[in-house]
Amino acid sequence: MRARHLSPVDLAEIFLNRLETLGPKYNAVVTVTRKLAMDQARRAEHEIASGHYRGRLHGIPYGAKDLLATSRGIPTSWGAAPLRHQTFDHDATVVRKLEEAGAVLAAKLSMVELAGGMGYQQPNASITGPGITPWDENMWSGGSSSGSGSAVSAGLVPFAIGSETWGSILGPANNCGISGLRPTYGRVSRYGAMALSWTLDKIGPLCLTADDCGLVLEAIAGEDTNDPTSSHRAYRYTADSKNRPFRLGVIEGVADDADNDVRANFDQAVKDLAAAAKIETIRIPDLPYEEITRIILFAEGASAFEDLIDSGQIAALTAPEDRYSVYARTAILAKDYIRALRLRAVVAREIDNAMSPFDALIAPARSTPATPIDKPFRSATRGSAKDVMGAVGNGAGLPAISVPNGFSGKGVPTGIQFMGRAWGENTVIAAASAYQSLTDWHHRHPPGLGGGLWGRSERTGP
Amino acid sequence: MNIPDDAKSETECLIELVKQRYGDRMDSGQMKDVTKTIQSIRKMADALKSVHLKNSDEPFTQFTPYRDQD
Repeated sequence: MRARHLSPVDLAEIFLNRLETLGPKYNAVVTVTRKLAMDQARRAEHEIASGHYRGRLHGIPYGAKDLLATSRGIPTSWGAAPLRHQTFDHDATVVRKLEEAGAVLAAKLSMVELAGGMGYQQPNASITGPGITPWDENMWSGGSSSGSGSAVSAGLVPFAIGSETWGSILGPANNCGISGLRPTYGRVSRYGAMALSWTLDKIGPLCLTADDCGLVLEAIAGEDTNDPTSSHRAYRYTADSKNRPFRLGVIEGVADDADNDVRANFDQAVKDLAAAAKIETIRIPDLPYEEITRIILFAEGASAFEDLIDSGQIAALTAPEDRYSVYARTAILAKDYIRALRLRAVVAREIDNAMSPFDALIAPARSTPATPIDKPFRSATRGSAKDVMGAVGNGAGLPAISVPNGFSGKGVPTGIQFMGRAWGENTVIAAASAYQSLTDWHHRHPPGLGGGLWGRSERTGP
Repeated sequence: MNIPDDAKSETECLIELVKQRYGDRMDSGQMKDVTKTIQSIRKMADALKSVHLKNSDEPFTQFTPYRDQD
């Protein structure tokens, strides 16, 4: 781009066309922002031609999960029928920062309604229909950042911005066979992003590689006076530490509940990582991790959407269970929520202590690969699946990255996650990059979607 | 304190509360689902009590008094 071998305008056209023609196939897109994208692309082209190069994202198209506010009359639907035409007069800080970096907003991407906060149990829980992984049109892309996952996987955008309260970046990354980074809580400003849970929500990138996640994170991270929870710690991505030996931990029994293919691929990934890391099994203190994080999520979610709940507007949501399930969460006692917050501090200290000898803990990104779009799925947030890594990682606000590590017997991807100590994004990205330098899963792309998009080193198919 | 034999449990009170607030919006099947969820949330809350906390164990929140720039 900088050397002007590639035109931002031409690139924007390519991806806008792909979003418009292929996006509906995966229910990945809410709004293609064609006019804005072309304006931003033309500005990028002019600036680069004038010698004003803003950095590695200059002229690069991206998609934003449709819970990030966008001005200029572009709707921000939160995936929810009652809010389909909602607009804001401001941009989310993440959107503003990406504009400052010269990136080109090509689309608002689909998501599970209200980021899954009403207790959805099956994939058809969005105004855009069930998200579909580009690897199998009958299988779910994962949620709640459904469109962010499938759009990157299908090559509709080079990167996307998603969010995670519990599982919503790592899940789509897993199901779509891409890399997704959940930063430390507070690393990225939440201003302008729909809140599901003020103390659990994190915004992060979904890309084709761990390295790209680092580049995007650098553009969107940073303190923001509009978000008092955003950290003053500056973030710079450094890619030069992936060749050192790593020390990785595996929580005992972490994969016991996983699907056979997931477990087999994780075991193989552990063998592959032995070339770059010393790996040990560890035990963590016996604490009610999942209950703590669940109570926080339920109580905050019920408050965040109090108006929608009390007014009865949730009756218009897509998933039948989303129209009433949340009523149960309005009856959480204050003392139980506060106890969960007190226990969160205990968890944070205990887990940091357990993790301190390690660069990261590793585990399957999800306990199953993508599931059918027309069937209920097991959910850690509802308690029908175990997810101690998710409970700990999200409850304590820790960073994690999911990268692909193989395929199931049915040809859909599985993933491995690397979870680090607070503020340790560069370490987890380095460890994941080291894994990607030992394997080629991240070079595999869904068949039939290339059209010349993927480079010569890339492969299609499992 | 003597609790009357017919006193409702904490869970039953919460179920009744939700029924009073939102019962007219749900059919019997949905109310049954919500009842199960409330029971499950109560079990989660009970699990939190398994960890002893001291008076000095504060909630992990950071409250800073706000003042706009002058």
